[in-house]
Amino acid sequence: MKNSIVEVRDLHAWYGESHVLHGVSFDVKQGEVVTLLGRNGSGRTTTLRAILGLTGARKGSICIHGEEAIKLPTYRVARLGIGYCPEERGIFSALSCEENLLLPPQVGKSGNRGMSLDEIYAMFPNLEERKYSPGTRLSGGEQQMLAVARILRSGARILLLDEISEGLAPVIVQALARMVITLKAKGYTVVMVEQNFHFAAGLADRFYVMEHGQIVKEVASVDLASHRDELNSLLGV
Amino acid sequence: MCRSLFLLFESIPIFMAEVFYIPIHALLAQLLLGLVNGSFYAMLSLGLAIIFGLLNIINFSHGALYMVGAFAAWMGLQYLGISYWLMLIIAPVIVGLFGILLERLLIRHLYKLDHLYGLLLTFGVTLLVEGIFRSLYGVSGKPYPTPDALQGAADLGFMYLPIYRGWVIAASISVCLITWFIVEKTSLGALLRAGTENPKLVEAFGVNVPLVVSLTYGFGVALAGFAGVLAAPIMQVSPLMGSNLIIVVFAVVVIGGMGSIMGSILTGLGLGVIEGLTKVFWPQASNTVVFVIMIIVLLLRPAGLFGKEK
Repeated sequence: MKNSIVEVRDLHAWYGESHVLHGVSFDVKQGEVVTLLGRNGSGRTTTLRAILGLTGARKGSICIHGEEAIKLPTYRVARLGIGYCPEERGIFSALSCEENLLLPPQVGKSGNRGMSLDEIYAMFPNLEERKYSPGTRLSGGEQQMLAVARILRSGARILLLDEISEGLAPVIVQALARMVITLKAKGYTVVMVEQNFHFAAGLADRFYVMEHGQIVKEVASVDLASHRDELNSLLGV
Repeated sequence: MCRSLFLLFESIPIFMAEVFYIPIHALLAQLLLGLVNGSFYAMLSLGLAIIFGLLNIINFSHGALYMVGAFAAWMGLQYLGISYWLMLIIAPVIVGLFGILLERLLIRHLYKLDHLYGLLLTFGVTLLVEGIFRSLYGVSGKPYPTPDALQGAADLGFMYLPIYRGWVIAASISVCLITWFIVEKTSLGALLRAGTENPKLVEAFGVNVPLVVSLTYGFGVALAGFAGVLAAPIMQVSPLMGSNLIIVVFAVVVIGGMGSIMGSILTGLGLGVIEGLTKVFWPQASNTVVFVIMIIVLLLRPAGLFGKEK
């Protein structure tokens, strides 16, 4: 049994007055791909944001590599080796594509050098063609690739990916799926938030289903078939 | 006939030397003097724009810190015999460190609040700092000698330009361009631009944004300190010298808009020149022309000439 490198225990989070997470607990093991499923507003995005301290007040425990992170400022959490790709992608319009790529500093253990610019351009040739374009002039798909690619350079080995398949053409969704498979093969740990169940189904080792700011169900990918009806009723509108 | 032709030819050069009955040399002279004022506007509005971009703070104390820069130069010479050239480096460092302290202790607590609170706080700091210098030195103003190397004047043909004023223009344009280069062309600047857009995300990448914010504020006010030292030999070093200037500089910032570094440099220089030219054509209006332009710009382009609509 591998060790958990992300351990979330009884995590509560607030945005101002509103209490969004009501005691979320889950584990992610080294090299695993885990997906948080759930309806809109169930607290999946907030869970990722709360790990990094991007919400309002928080309570509970978040251990990264065994280190308690809930009291740390956001940048110190990131330096534990976390790369974050936000739902809105967060491409900086005042920066060129390549400046966006080069922005995140090295995080995580020294020696974890992350991918070089060449490796990244080999993986996403589009980005090399557009490297001098302002970030927000890229197409939606290119922006999404950029948003993921720039955290691969930083040496982060735990990736929090929020809705990376959302609103993209099927061919780009396939490219992103291949990327997640490649990353998993390289030993990255990935926590994804996904609306697109089919995208996640082929990639993740385990699924957590969220509802009303809590985790209500955990399913391993091998048990997916037997739980399909139950999942449909939890995720269906 | 012959005489009238002669008169005609004689009148041509005179005519050519005048624009709307204003001698061209007077025009060029005011243009240059306007450029000197514009240099100060540019340096100060540049700092304000950088600070507002990252901190969302309208730094009212900018003028007071400019005054502190000038006083630091004066005190350095008066009490310690430190030369102008050395103070040109030391004074901005002192002002920058004071700024960092100010940001860490006071301004930091206001980021989540409306701009107005930052304005009020820095206004309070202005009153405090100016009050201290007033009680120590009065309001009469202290003379500061022009450094030996920059004394005298250069004959430009149409006017004698005091060398020191030429130096002010050159030094401030250089500092402005270096700042522009750092912000727009280096990876440090990319960090600043990204932080201006989305500081939380930059922090989520592992950047110590609170530190970047402190250093940016320090750098912004150090520019004001530098401008203060430059101003010492041509303006009276007085506790109120910043207040007199800062109102115009705020108008410059409103006209230029907050979005662009180059925008605030060009607006600063441009408005200095316009002010200078107004002194030639309609001297009475020269103190108000900047504000008239501000009103027109606010009506036509509320985000300013170079600002981005949000």
